[in-house]
This record gives sequence, C-alpha cells and structure tokens, in this order.
Amino acid sequence: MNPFVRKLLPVPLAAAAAVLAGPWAGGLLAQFLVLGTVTAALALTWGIAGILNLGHSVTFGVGAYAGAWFGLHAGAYGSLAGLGAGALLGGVMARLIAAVGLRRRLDAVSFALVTFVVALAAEQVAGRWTGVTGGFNGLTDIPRFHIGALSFTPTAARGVTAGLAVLVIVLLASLARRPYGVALAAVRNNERRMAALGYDVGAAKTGVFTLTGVVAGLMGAVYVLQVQFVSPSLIGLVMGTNFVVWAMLGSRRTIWGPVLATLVVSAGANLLADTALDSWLLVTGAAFVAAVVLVPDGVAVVVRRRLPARWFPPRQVKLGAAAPSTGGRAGGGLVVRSIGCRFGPFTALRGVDLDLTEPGVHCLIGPNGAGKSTLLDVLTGFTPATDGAWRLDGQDVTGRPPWELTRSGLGRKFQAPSVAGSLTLAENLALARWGRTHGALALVRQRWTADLPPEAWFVLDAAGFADRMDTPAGSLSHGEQQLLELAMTLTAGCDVLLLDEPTAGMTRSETEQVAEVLRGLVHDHGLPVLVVEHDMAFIRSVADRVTVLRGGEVMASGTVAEIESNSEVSAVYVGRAAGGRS
Amino acid sequence: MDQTIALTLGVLSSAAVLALTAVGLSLSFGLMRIINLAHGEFLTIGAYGSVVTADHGLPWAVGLAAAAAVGLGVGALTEVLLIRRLYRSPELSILATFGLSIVVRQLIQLGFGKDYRMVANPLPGATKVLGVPFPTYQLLLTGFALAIVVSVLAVLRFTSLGLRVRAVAGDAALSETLGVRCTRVNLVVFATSAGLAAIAGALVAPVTNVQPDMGLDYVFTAFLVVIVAGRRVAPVLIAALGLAAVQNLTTFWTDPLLARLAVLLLAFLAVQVRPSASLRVAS
Repeated sequence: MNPFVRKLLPVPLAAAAAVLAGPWAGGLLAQFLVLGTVTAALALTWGIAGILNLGHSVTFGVGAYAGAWFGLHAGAYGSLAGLGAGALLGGVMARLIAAVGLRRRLDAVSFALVTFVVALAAEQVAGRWTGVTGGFNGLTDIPRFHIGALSFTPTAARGVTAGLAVLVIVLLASLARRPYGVALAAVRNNERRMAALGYDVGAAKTGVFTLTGVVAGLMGAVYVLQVQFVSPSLIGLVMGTNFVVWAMLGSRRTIWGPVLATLVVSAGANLLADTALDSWLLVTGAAFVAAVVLVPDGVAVVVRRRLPARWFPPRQVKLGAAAPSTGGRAGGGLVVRSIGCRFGPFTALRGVDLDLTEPGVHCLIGPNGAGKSTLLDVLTGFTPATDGAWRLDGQDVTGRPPWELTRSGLGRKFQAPSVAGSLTLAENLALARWGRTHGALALVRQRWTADLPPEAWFVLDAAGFADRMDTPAGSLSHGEQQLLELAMTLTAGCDVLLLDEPTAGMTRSETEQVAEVLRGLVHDHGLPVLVVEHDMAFIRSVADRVTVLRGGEVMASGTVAEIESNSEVSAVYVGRAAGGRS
Repeated sequence: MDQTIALTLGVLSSAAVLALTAVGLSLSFGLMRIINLAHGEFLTIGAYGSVVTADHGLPWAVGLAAAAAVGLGVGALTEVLLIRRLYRSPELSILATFGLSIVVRQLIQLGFGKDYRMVANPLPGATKVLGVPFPTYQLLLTGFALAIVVSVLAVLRFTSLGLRVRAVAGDAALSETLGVRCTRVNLVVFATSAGLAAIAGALVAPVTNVQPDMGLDYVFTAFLVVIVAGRRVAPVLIAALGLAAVQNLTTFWTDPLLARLAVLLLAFLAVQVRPSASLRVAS
C-alpha cells in the first residue's frame, strides 16, 4: 500500500465511524475530527514551517463566532455564509497577526509571545463584546448545517462535518509532502540558505501562517455548526494550549500524528468527568512537559523509527539535464562603487570598489576581520550597506533583499556548508532549482522532477554524486557538502558567482576539483567569479585578479604576481618586523 | 482635584504591582532569554500560599514570607528539572514553561477546587492622603512592591552578585571562562524571579479573588511591560507606570475591555516606534 494512504487511513475510518455511530458517540467523534484538522493546520505552520503559534485558537475562534453569527442571522443560506465568513475572517486575523510579528522580523520566540498575548486578549474581547458574541454565556441554538430549504438529518450533517474534516486533512498532508511543504521545512532549517537560493522567506512564512488561519477559521465554523454552540473558551488561551499540546504529543513534523493525538486526548477528556477529568488534564499536561524534555520530536516520530525502514522509502526525485543556456550571459556583470558599512561606531567597510564584469576568477584576500565576509553579506543583501551602490547587469540593485538579488542573477555560496542535512542530495538540488522561478502556488503544483543546468552536473559528476542522489545530505563529508552547495548555487543559476572560502575543510584532491570547476565555469560558461580565499596555492592556480582588503578598505588590486611582489601586502600578512628579517 | 489624587494613587498602586510581576519576568527573559509562560502560575502559588497560612490563623506577614519561600523553592526546582536542560533551545523552553503552567493550574484546581478563595484584609480602613481617603492596605502594598522592585534593581546594579548576573547575561561562555558559575547564577536568577512572582501573588491576595487561573490576568499586562521594556530590566518601572496609567484611566472613563485593548495597542505601538529596545533581533 502507498505509505501516504497507509498513514492517513485512520482518518477516513474515524470519519466513517462518526457517521455510522449513534448521535452521541458519532457527534463527539465528528467534533474531535474537526479539532484534529485544526491541529493539523498548526502542525503545518509550526512543525513544518517553524512558526510557533500559541494563539492558533484565535483564528479558530474567530471562524467559530463567524459561523455562529451567520448561522443565526443570515437565514436560509446562513450555514454556507458562516463557512465562507469563517474562512475569510480566520485568514484576515492570521494576516494581521503576521503583519505585526512576521513582517517585523521578530524571532520565533518573540513571535510566539505575541500570539500568546493575542490569545489572552481575544478571550477577553469575546467574553465582553456581548452584543455580537453573547458574552461569557456564548451563543446557543445555532441551526444545524443546511443549504437553503434543504435541511440535513443529524446523521447527514455529521457526514458533511466528517467529510470536510477528511478532505482538509488530506489536503494538508498533501501540501506537506509536496515541494511546497519541503521548501517550508527547509526555510525552518536555514532561512539564510533559502533566501540565497531565491526564496522570499518572509512571504513564505506569512503565506503559510495566513493559509493555516483560513483552515482554522473554516473549521471553526464547521465545528460550531456541528456542536451548535459557541463560547469564549473556543477562542482563548486554553484552547490554544490544547492545539499546541496535541500537535506536540503527536509529532508536529507530521500531519497525521497530531490528528491522532487530538482524537485520543479529546476522547479521554470527554469520557471522563469531574476529578477524573481534572486528573486526565493533569496527566496530559505532565505528558506534554515530559515530551518537551524527553522526546521533543513527538511520539509519532519515535514510533516511526521503530517501524521497518522499507515502509518509508526516500522520495524519488527525477533529475534531468536542462539545455545549456544559449547566447551567453546577459552581460554587464557586477559593478560595486564605494560600498561602506558601519555597525554603530565600528566601520566594517569603507569605500570599497570592485569590478566583476569579465569572465574570470577574482580572488578576495585579507587578514581576519578585514571585512571579506561582510562585503559578501552586503552585496547579497544580508547586511544593509550604509554607503555606496552596486549594479548587476546594468541594473541598480542596491539595497534589495537577498532573494531578489538571487533572482536578479547573483549566486552566493556560504562559508560554512549549509545544505539541508535531513533531505537527500536530489531534494536539495531540486529546491535549489525552484528558488529563482517558483512562487508558493508553483511549488504546490510542482512535481518532484527538476532539470539541472550543465554546470551543476559538471560539479556533481566531478564529485561522484551520481549514484548517491537518494542519500541524506547530512551523511556527506564536510568537503562533499561544500561541493553539493556549490552545485546548488549553480543550479539556482547566476550571472555572477560569489564564493566564501569554497575550499575550507577540503582535501587536496577536493580542492583540485574546485579549481577545475572554477576554470570550467569561467571558460565554458563565461562567469565572473569572486572567491574569498586564504589558500595561496589555490589562488595561484585559479586567480586572474586579486584584491586585498584590509581594515574594511581595498589596499591593493592586481594580478597574482603583482600582489605577491607588493611589499605592503606581504607586510600585512607576515608583519613588518618579520618581513624585515627575511 | 480629589478625583485626580485618587486616580493618581490608583495608577501608582497598579503600576507597583505590575512592576513587581514584570520585574521577575524580565529577570528570566532579559538575563536568561527564557520566556517563562508559567510566571503567572508562580504568582498564583504565592496567593494560595497566603490562603493556606490565613486558613491556619497565621498573621499576614508570615503568609508573605511563606509565599516567598514556596516561590523560591518551586522556581529552583523548575530550573533544575526543566529549564536547565533546555537553554540550547528557546522554543523548547517556552513550551516547557507553557506545559508547566497547565500542570500547576491543574494541581491547584485538584487541591483547592475551582471556587474563589478570599484572604482577609490585614489593614482594613482608609488613610487620608492629601485629604483624600485611600485604602490603607493599598498604600502599604504600593510602597512594599516599589521597595522590592527598587532593591532588585539596586542589587543588579551595585553588588558583586549583580555584576556576575549581568556578566552571564552578556556572554555566558565568556563569564564561565572568567570563573563565574553560570549554572548557579541561572539558578539564583530563576528562583528569584519565581519568588518575586509569589510575593506579588501574596500581596494582591487580600484585594482580589484567589482562584486557579488568576495568574493569567496579571501576566497578560506583565508580558506587555516586558515586550515594551525589551531585554533590559531597568525600563520595566517606566513601562509599568505607562501601561498602568493607560489601563486605569481607560477603565475609569470607558470600560475594562477597552482598557485591555488600549494597553495592547500601546504596547504594539511602543514596539513599532522603538524596535531596537524591544524583542527584535538584528537578523
């Protein structure tokens, strides 16, 4: 059986049981399924995309109140209007919260605190805005699901509820395993890397947060039509707590785990009463704390590790060869003029000029703290420049965010290899291929096939990766990860390539491979390449030009021979006194 | 005029309690980067501590001392059992304290029930301030809370313990190499933070209804204070005064709900205007 189907099988089974069991048991089961859907949505934002939302109940509750209000006031088509309004308001609410937190670049924990505070405030509003919400008593006697004059029997209404829940869960699970979900997980793992590959990280996070808000709002309305009652407890922190606890216990990195955890824990909470219920909640809370400390990945992931590995085969990614880009590069290259960068009183860069207009390897050297990596950070948009401008292919790109610079044709490899270790080589390469061209919708539609440009294949073949495409990138050696990342940068496609210490941690033969690759890129593909390096032997073998940076300023620039005979440069490197003695 | 004085005293009194609650929160967040979502429950523990001592007929001061001791103990235990294991991951530490808050609320509910409990006011009656009568206990509460907050700030600023705490907050690894025992400093800071919350709980117990989820009410505004004040402890006093003023005055002129929203709005505005002082990270 298809592993996807096997994992999700309990969900339609539970839905069928919800329809077939009597009104009481069936009603409860349908109710839990809806909650499970909302938890699954949280798993997508939190577990997959890494945005901890303690106030997931806010969007759920807003949807619930919308469903209740339209159900009571909008007449024959009140149920449908309620579902629509629930989804809409849930999305709007999520978008607003994201605007406060995510766009302001709060870190994950501060954003979680914002959601916590919003949940506390939401419960107060729901409890006191009596005219609309019915106050602390809530709204009762909400009509069951109906469309116009067509009314549903309780069993049929349960069928609608359970059917919608199954549909949404399957959709969420499918999103998570498509390139869209995998790209989000990669954003969670390493935002800088994904931005450097051309992904608009901020938009991606806001997008998934809003999407799960829509799902939670819709399911809030569905929930209310099922239970026919709404109160402030649905919107408040306790409900938000529940979603987080269920997602955590069931493994937030999966979609099916949180759904099952929701079913099990809610069933326990509803079958027990009085002190037994209090004890059950205590046990749940204690299990949650224990899970945080002992199994932060959640129970489902632990169970999965015990199951036969052949049940979870690695994803098959078809990698093809793209046609070589014809007609050469757009031309113009990178022109940098008087870049300056200050951090408070400290000047990291001052008046740096650089020309990468011709095909060739341009090496950037300088002692530690000279500003080499800062210059690369500024040029690729990760650190704001305080002065100066730079043009790419004749276009002024000063101050653009990293992903836009990548999309304009600037390629960057980081100093420390930053491939996604839990993904296979092929998955890493596929994500690199889509960064420049794919928005969220395109990532949802994309199949797991990607055509890589010849220069990427050149690196992959040289590294001997062809038969290891399905192994996790984390199993590669340090030097191999450098080569993989270089291949990824080339896969993203660029007109100018910036490499930060590409040979750090490499063996002699791997360094030789990199040198050969660089020469190939320059001669066959006409790329201007900037390389930050320390290894003088490597520099001699590849460099067409060398620029020396010292104290944030360009000290000298010229051919290798010119730089090596420059007495000022050797003084900086060896020290004046030592230079005198030799 | 009389009304102005009464309102001012009210604002000062709320600000003092708020500052006392927030200063503990700010200690753990600003210094240890731990967002303690169980801080409100530590406050509740303090309040119940004074309920228990009052039930046994012990005087109010004993209740206060007992609450402080229990708070310190629970805080220390939490640090050793939970927080210490989770410094590497801010997300896991926020989750652990989140879970802890559920467990504590549930334990209190099992032990004491869901109903309101009252603590007798140790100083009933009113004292005239500038000719305006004001509840005597509120005055004491205000002075006491302010004194504690100021002494915490003084310890941080002027003592060698404070210096070590600030060193660990600045750079834990570096302080360790300079001979500061980080684990011990963290333990002291977290236990103190919990102790301060418990003292706040015991102080407000006579003027409020003691119930299992009372902590959430106080911690809501306290978190806003910390959001506004950022990772430094000293601005907590100013932020608490500002938010308490807005909350009390809006409550006076309109209603408590709008006051809550006004405070929320003010906090978010403060974050937008002064992002560098708030929780924002550079990149």
